Amino acid sequence: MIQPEERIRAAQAAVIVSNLILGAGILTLPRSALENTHTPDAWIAVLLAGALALLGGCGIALLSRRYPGQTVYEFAGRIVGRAPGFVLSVLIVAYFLATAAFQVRSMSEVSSFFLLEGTPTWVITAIFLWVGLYLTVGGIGPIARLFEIILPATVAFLALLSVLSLRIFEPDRIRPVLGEGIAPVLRGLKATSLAYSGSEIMLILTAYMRSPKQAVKAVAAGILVPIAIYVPIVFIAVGALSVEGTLSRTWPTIDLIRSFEIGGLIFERFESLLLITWILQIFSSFTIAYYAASLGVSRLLGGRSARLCLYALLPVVYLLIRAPRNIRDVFGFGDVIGECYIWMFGALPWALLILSVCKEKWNAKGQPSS
Amino acid sequence: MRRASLLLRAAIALLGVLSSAGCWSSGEIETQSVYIGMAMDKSKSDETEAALDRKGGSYPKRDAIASTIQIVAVQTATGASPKQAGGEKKQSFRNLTLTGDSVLEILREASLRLDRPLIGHHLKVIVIGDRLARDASMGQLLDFFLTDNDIRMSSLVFVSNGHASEVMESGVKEEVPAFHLWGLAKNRYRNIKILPSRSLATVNGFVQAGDNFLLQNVIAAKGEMKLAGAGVFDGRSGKLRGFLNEEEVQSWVWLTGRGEGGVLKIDDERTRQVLAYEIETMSSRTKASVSKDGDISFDVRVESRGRLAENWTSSIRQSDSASIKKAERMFEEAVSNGIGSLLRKLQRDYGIDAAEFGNQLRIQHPKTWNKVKNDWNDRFRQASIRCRVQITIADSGAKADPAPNAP
Repeated sequence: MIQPEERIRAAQAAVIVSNLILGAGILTLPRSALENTHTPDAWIAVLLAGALALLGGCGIALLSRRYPGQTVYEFAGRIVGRAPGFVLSVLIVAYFLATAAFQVRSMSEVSSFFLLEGTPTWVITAIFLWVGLYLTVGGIGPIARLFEIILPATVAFLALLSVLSLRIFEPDRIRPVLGEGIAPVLRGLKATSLAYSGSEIMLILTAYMRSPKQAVKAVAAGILVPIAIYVPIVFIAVGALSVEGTLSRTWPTIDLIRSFEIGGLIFERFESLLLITWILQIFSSFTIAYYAASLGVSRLLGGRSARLCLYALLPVVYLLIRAPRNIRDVFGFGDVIGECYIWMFGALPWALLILSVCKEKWNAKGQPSS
Repeated sequence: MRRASLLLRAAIALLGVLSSAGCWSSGEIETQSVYIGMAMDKSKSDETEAALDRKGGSYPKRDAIASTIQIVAVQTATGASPKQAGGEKKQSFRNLTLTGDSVLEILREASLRLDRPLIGHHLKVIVIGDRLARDASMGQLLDFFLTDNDIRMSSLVFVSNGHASEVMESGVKEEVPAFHLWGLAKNRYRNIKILPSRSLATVNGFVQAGDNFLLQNVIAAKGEMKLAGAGVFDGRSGKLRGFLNEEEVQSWVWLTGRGEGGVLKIDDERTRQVLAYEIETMSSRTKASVSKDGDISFDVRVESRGRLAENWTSSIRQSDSASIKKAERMFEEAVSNGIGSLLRKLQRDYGIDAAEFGNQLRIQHPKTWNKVKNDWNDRFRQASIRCRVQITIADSGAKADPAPNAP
């Protein structure tokens, strides 16, 4: 059971969901959204994918709140039986571990390319991991409070950057709207859905909520924030760099900010602002995913100290971080995680939800007296 | 015992704090060569380099590109600033010319001649000579700049009808040509003969999409530079095909409605005296139409508001609305004629749609565009383009023009 002082408010749950969703993807989303659409309508695909993520997120929240005080690691077994539940829990742990590793790896790639040329990757990675460990050892309370500080800063910075980027925005580049119909938009749905992975954390968070009834509201709010950030970024990036121009950039969002200079403001160049924000977001995505994974391991091992697991998993995560050999592998790694997200947390929670409801009904019928 | 462990912890914390304030791969600005401009020409021999070559300082390469790198002089802490009291004023920049076939190799070859390594964070302008631009595609020439991590996509790209390296020279002391050129591109609110800025980001968009495009032309003579028209680039090959003169660029800006300010001067029909119109706002709308048998035509409507800013004639009176109408008509004709001769050049001489008509067709008739985009330049030759210009003289500035006394 969860200790009472570790309860979080619904708003905090929403903030955590937003923070997990906003991560490595911000810098590459304009390109990945265009890769399958190839039309200026990529932003519509991002919007629709957000709606799908809302749907998936609601499934997760509805499922989790049926088991107050329990995380997915406990209630999975109660729905599908002990052994399948165990397997599912292992998969979820692996998923969170991979997410945590992917985030840090993306961060180290970008940092060593744009910011810290010459600093060994292990230094960048190790410091990041240690600070993350320091936070997660404190438990969900400190995590939630830190995220509450990070998110408003992110939203404010990204909004500022979007407004500034409008100076190189050309409306003609995002026209025509739906010139080739809805088909290209639908083709882009899958790739853009990956950018919304994160609501699955509610499978664990709901257990910590003071009022689990608000889980649906929390997850919806948590997804709306990334929608409000992603759609303008893709819209403006395509309008500034053009469809083909965006497709030709590895980190289009950074290039968007590097495409203009502004005199008269305190800064002329704003990419450092973007990178700071982005690294904070990666930090939050990493810490919460890592925390979720460690929690899972401790539950799988029969309730061993979660703290011990946090320390023990650090080398595992480090190995995962260093596993991709080059940037193509890193992006491939991200795609695999996205694929898992769609299968494990897009459809499965709804299936589990239906199963759980049926089971209850059936039980109620079988034992009308209880 | 407890005390010792406390001390140990404090020491570790202090060490951590100290080391986190440092930067692993820091480099002081004084120890770097900051290059701010780069001119690329078809190989022309540089005296210094030729002399070094004769002494054996060469490496296997094709002499394809002569690249002139402009480095800003660093003010060192010891006070050797460009403005030293008494002494001769120091040049505030240094040019280095190297020949080679790979831009990156050329830049790294510079490390054999410069003690301070080159860094590209502040590259402002890239100027490409016309002979090189006719030979190599823009995609190839700019490839390195678009791959490098230091160089920002806000760097501006120019073409030069002549030797690009001459643009990087200056006859005026203390003036840095690269900054000068960067500043010139910002004068669009003053002069209509300047194209919207062509940053690496913009040019990359054109090159990747295979669109035709214009680059501002900059020429140099006697240590001074001037923006003079534009180079026309063929989207298929990415190579320079020819130039538009200043008048034609002016008409291009009118046609696309991209002007931010500037002047339109004409001679009055009757008196042959100067009349000048100052542009306040400008806009243009293009309507693309496709007929049943597939003929493509465009209707352009250019609108502008501004003021009559200089009037040498007695035949146009600001207070008389009939004569203002007459002035408006004369300005409209001048713009239409200019646009007409620009379109003749683009359609007949070059056969290149460098005025974004294809883009309008893509937006308004996406299905037709997909059919014709592969041979768009040929279709563009045959497209009929009509243009209507409407100029409104909204005011005539501070000068009042008293109506003649009633008899």
